[in-house]
Amino acid sequence: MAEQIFYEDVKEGSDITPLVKNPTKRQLVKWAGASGDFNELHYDKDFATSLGFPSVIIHGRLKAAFLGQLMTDWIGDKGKLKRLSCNYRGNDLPGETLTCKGKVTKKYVQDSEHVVECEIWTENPKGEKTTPGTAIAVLPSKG
Amino acid sequence: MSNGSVITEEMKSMVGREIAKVVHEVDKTMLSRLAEAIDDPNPRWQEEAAPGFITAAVVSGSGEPPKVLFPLKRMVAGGGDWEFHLPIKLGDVITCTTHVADLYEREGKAGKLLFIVTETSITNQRGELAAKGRATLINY
Repeated sequence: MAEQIFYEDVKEGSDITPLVKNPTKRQLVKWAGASGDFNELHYDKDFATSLGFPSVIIHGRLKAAFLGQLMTDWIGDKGKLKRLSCNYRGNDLPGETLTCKGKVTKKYVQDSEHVVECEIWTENPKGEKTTPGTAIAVLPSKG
Repeated sequence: MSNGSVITEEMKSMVGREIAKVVHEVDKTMLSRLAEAIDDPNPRWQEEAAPGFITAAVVSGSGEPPKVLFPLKRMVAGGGDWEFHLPIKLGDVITCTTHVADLYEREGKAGKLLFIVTETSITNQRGELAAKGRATLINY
């Protein structure tokens, strides 16, 4: 784990440390089982192509989980993730690298909590933002 | 299909309806399987729910909304929004209650898009709200 980050360490515009994921079909099957999402779109290629998809695609909720990990890795054990939102805009395929990224859009103190608001997204190998979203977290203060 | 609303009175009457209530004992197996599926090695998630535990359908999206809410041919997940209020820890018993929260439509390039929003409240064994999740499904 990286060193604990503090509120004072970040500025509006600061980058969140990227998280690189290399999801495989095997991982999609694990996620299907563990998360209880058995939509065939995520493990049955014939089903996926019959709907016009190039192959099976990654579960939106798994991409949300990756963005959750992006945030918890970055804010560390002393940070608190308060909110995570995302849109499943583009289809992502197993076998392709998916990079989770983000940046701080706002920082402020509210009810004595040191809050950061972030823009977050997943990026495919073409550099397209396939899962754009936002996150709100509380960071510890050196205060 | 492009004229008039696809949202019928019957469909409107479903907004607010509870569609699933599931109880999970948060045990080591459930925590470790989800952490493994996310491929998140942080040892913390063996004792506590990772955000991705909460984004999982089994926690924040159980239950299929009634078929009548999907009058069009295809369905995809559009997005999600989660609020994390209290940590969910090993040994907690969580109750995940999902209801239909909203229904609206838009004109897409290839016809109508119908948005079905569900909301799940996740409470712990003390009755405290630990997390909340909203999921948008798109029928088109």
